[in-house]
Amino acid sequence: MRAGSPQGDVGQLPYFLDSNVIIGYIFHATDHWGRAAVLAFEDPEPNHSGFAVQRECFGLCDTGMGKVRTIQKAVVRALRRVIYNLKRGRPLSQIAANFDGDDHFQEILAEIRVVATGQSNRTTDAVVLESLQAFEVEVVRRQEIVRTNCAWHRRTAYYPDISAVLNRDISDGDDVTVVLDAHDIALTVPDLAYVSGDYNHIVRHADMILTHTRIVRVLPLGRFLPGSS
Amino acid sequence: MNELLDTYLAWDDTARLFVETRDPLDALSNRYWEIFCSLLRVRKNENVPEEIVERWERSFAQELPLYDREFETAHDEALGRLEQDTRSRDIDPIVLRLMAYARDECVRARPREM
Repeated sequence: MRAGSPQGDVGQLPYFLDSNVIIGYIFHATDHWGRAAVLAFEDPEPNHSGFAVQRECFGLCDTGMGKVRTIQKAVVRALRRVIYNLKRGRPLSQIAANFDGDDHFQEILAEIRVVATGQSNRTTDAVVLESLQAFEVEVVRRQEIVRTNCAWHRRTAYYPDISAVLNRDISDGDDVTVVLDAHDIALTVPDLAYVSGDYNHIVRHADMILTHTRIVRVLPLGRFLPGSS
Repeated sequence: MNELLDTYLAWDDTARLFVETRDPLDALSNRYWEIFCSLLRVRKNENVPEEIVERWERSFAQELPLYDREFETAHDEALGRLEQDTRSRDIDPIVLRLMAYARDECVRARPREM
């Protein structure tokens, strides 16, 4: 195991990756969560996941209607409109007013202003276009890595008894579906560890999940950060 | 024709990408003008029976998602051919902010199915 592996674990621990790990890997940021998602995904232990996570991230039958594609398209559409307005002579400060209430996007525009300021060889719209392309290239590349470096499973059993117990504590039915997918995989993949960044719905209920399913561990995403315990 | 603004901007962006990757633009441009014209004939026409205009409108509504899908595939393939080693590193902070923004939007989106 490498430096980022969860502290105190020895030997092979195949992982079941929740959607927040997949999403954190594809949209890779350098904050704690982003680094933990990359460390979890790139850990040499085999990665597994289920149909509910696949559908959530990538849509049914890869229709492109999953969260990843939907959000990627929304970001791209917003940046294309920024470029369109810049080319029509509207200053960045005026364009930023269109994103009133979206502080996060305002920060992106502020960062664009910082990079573009004082550049004589590149216009601001060229900076945005270059950033947009770099973002898309990286997201497409990472999606391909996720598709090929994770074993995707399709559950055919319902497990109504386990489902009923899980539903008593886990309020979101979609989360229960994902746990049942992991349980189903754990029947054929021994020592399966469920990796999740969802502390409220999953990690908080780790004991109950371990009691009623064949999952052997619930690993909070933060455990992959060096120095965590 | 405001409903085609994003379609136009996607074409503009992708056409620039094709120029960069030295791919032929003909097919891409022809498909764009086809979809543009299929809406144009709905919006701007004279002396055309209403049922025909309605048929054109239905046809446009069916064609647009197919066009978008086909176009996205061509766009993604062109991105795969794009030489990224030459890009300037000074945009890295912007890209990282875009990544964090996209991730947070993804996670905020509930329920799991969109």
